Amino acid sequence: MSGALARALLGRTAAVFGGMVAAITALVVLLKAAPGDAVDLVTTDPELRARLVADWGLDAPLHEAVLRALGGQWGTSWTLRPGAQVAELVGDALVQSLPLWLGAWLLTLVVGVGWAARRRAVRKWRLPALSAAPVFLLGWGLIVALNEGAFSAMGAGLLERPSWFSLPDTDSWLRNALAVGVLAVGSGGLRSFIDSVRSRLDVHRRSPAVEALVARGQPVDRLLAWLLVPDLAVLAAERGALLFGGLVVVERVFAMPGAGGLFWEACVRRDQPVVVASGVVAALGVAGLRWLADVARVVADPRLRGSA
Amino acid sequence: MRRDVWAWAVLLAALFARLLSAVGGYDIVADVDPGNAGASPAAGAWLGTDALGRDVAWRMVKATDAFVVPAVWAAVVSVGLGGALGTLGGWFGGSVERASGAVAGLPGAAPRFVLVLLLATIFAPTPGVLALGCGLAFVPQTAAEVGARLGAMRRTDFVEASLVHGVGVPRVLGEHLLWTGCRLLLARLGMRAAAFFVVVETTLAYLGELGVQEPLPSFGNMVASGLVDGRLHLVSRLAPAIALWLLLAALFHLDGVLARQDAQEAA
Amino acid sequence: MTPPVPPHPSSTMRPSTFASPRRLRALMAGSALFVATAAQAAPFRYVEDRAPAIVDPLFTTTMGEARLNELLFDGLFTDDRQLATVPSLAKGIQVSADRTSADVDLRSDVQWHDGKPFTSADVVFTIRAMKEPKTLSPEGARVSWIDSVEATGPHSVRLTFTGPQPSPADRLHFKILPAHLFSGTVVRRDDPFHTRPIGTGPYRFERFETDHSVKLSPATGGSRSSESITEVVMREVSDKSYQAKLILYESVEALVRVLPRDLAILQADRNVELYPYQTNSWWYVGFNQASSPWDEPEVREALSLLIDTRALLSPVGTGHPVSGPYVPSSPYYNHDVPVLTRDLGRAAELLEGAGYVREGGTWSRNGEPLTVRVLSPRGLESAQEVAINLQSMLQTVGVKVDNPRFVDEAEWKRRVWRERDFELVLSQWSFDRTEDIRQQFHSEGSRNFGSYSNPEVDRLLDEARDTLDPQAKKTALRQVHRLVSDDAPMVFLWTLDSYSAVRTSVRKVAIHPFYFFTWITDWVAGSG
Repeated sequence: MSGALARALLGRTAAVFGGMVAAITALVVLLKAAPGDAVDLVTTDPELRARLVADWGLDAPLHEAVLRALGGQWGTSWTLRPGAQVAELVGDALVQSLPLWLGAWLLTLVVGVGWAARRRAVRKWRLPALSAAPVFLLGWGLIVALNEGAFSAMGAGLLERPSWFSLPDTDSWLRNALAVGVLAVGSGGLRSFIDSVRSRLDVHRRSPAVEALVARGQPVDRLLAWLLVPDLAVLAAERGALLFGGLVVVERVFAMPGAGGLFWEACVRRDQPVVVASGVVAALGVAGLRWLADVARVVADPRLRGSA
Repeated sequence: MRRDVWAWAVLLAALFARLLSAVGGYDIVADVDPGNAGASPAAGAWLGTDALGRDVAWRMVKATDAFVVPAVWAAVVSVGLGGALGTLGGWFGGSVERASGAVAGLPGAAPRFVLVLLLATIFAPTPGVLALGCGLAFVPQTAAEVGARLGAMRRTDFVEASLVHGVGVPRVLGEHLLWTGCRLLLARLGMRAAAFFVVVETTLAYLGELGVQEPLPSFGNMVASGLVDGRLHLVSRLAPAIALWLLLAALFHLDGVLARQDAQEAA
Repeated sequence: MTPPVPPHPSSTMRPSTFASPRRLRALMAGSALFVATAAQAAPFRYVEDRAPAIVDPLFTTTMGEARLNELLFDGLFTDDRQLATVPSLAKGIQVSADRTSADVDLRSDVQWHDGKPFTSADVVFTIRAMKEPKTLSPEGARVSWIDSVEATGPHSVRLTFTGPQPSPADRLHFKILPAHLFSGTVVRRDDPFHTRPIGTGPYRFERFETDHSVKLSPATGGSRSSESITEVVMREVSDKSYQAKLILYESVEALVRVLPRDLAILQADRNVELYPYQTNSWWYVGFNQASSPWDEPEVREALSLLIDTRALLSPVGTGHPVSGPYVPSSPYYNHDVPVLTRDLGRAAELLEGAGYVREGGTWSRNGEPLTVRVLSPRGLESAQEVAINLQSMLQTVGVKVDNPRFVDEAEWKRRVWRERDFELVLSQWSFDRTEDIRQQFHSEGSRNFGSYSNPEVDRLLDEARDTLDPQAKKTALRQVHRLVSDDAPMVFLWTLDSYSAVRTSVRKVAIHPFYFFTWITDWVAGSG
């Protein structure tokens, strides 16, 4: 590895993970400043409150709380699943969310790049219209349409009870497929990805090198693909980070276990250790994706190595 | 242009509804009429009534209160803060660019929806907090894009020439670079933050009765209650959802329109 | 043996073209064994809004947790179908002549779900753990009347009370825990017991599923057993509207509580049976008497008279307006105290007497409008509808009402219970079989967040607590009803009719009004 590349990578790593540490610190500070806490969910008796506050370390100094958060010492859940190790809860939830996230991410990349790369100016309105709907609305619409349709068909004797009925209560291939699709498409995500890829492709198509090759009648697809790699790395990382947020909604709408649903429940039930742990893991995930994107960019484009 | 008319019409309709809400004299409390709950669309209530007998059409007009101004605030935060940081970084470059990038990147450490949900949980899911959260969520992207564009424009000959000829930095920066070169970009990014606010408010209302609280109407609480309440007429149930969908489709479409225009101007 | 009656044709099934009487009879005869077998393998699925955070009677804070505990654990005593106390883990009780102690004989034929025998050590442990301050159990008040407990044999215990008790058995319904699974009487909330609870109830805990559902299987050796329901699954479904859909879709067998708006659609389905049950719960609008002008009895009474209770109730469901702190079916309810009806004239007199004038349609005093600020818990079903209706109702009669605020559970407990930072609240009180309102209305009550104080009410509540004469207790509490109604620390609204929905595939259903599953061992599930 050349010195410039190594320095560039080191610089990027420091920036990305430094930002992550700063964000986690900000999260812990905000949680400390929050009015109200989980103790109220358990008891309002002053003596019991005092004991719980001590038990849960709510009166610990700020720097201690930050160090514990950064060090992964998240302890046990307070209100969500008292006694359960937070690291285990979050770890199990992540494993459950991974297929959904990965599926949606890959679907976005494949469909998004394929759609954007079509030479003809595609002005179809269906995908953009579908993608404009918020994730929860798309999910709700699909679930209600399929359930009511199947129920009516069953009532008319046209259909035996399908294995996926009823959505989203039953764990089934259809539920999982719908969740992946909705996560990938909804809230403008897919549309925005397609637009971004298309605009980057347009910029590269207008570059002098590509125009020269086109003028000479040379094929440019491979060159365009290589030129797109750094941009695609960044766009894919951004899309992956956005999908983390979408998990919260999709897992709730489709009643699927996972990190998103766990985070939502932890917020609602004021389970601070789980909120902190989920926040740390999300920040780590986002930082990791950005770091990978930066590495891909720097490796693919030597011009970027000097700007680290 | 003809293809874009519908989107502009939807946006104008939303703004008109906001105006109508301010001057129309609709009283959300006086409209409660449980005896008229679930009425079908009719002359007196074009979209029917809800579970408390309130006129759905008027409530949708009033719901623009809940998102027009907060969405604008989200856009202001995103464009103001992100634009300022990006401008600093793009103009000065070097360590200033790195520092402003680091500050701007802070909100980006968490996924956008997670960031807003955290703020709503820690403080309260009020429109102000949600608007702040949505605005902050777009600061990293705004700062990065404005900074990149400004940085590229900073190194152009006409900027150097203007400075050498004594044109003040504020004028070069404000008029030539930001207004001429970045206004469409800023408009797009502001629109995205605004659209994100609408999505977040409605999503939080649907998922967990967060977002704008009754009796104040919002698309969020109207969609959340209407979709699931079988007592209402179908039109009353679906109207807020369709309006929401149209609004978001319009905002996303206009984002694309502005992006194409921006690309043309840049070329 | 006659074959079981075939199931009533589902409304979702099309009549078969092959259903000639001869074929049906043959089918019935041939399928008798299959049907009988199917009846023995019958899962029972029910839904809760929220999965239990903790499965341990020591730390129960929600009704969902209490219902699950009913399936896993037993108390020394329980209720029969007439809600009279009958032995469960106990065989009998002998109360001393002065009623300050009791000897309880325990069953010797009961085993915990892990096979260990149930003994007196378990009862001693449970009571001591509940009383242990370091356990931080919110259920500690249930045993505050027990001074000490000791084992007098492997299956007998002696309880000593803090004072004479008229019916100690009525207060021994709390669930018993296995001593052998704890290392001492200090039980922490994060004790590993909660990840694998062991009880003596008719069902044993199998596992928490990844979707937050809880799976239970029939237990052997417990105090009771069910031969019909072979599996119980508690599902978490936070969307209340979807809960009704699930039972229509045959995805679950029971809903604990049906929303009023779903009653009609469930009633129309022939495969769903609605079971009404009366809970000891009533709605109210509570005043913070430490806050002006709600410290003035005339103003409180005036506001009570401005509210049309029946008009508020009708959009929400069916029920019975109440005039005091008990439900009409309670023995302590004073039927001589009339339910308040709207009286605008009398309300106006009271407000004028308090110095208010009606200017421009609004009541005001010294230039300040009479303003109502209502707080309500977000999770209370129909509270939004009631609060918004109330706002509209009061504004039409000249009272300014700020937009009601709906807060989550933590904020509710902080603002109302702890900091008393509110003016009016709209909420509901629920009571168990003891209907003990002392904490709400005694001046020293821990839940008297409205700062209500009446020395005579205090005296009567103390008398009711200490008397051994059930009739004297009834008289005292009925007088409390009258006094509280007159003082109007709250506007008593109504008790709602509650309905649960159970699919017709489950028969002989009897529902306990508080714990729901108390008599589940008598239910019969399956298509037989």
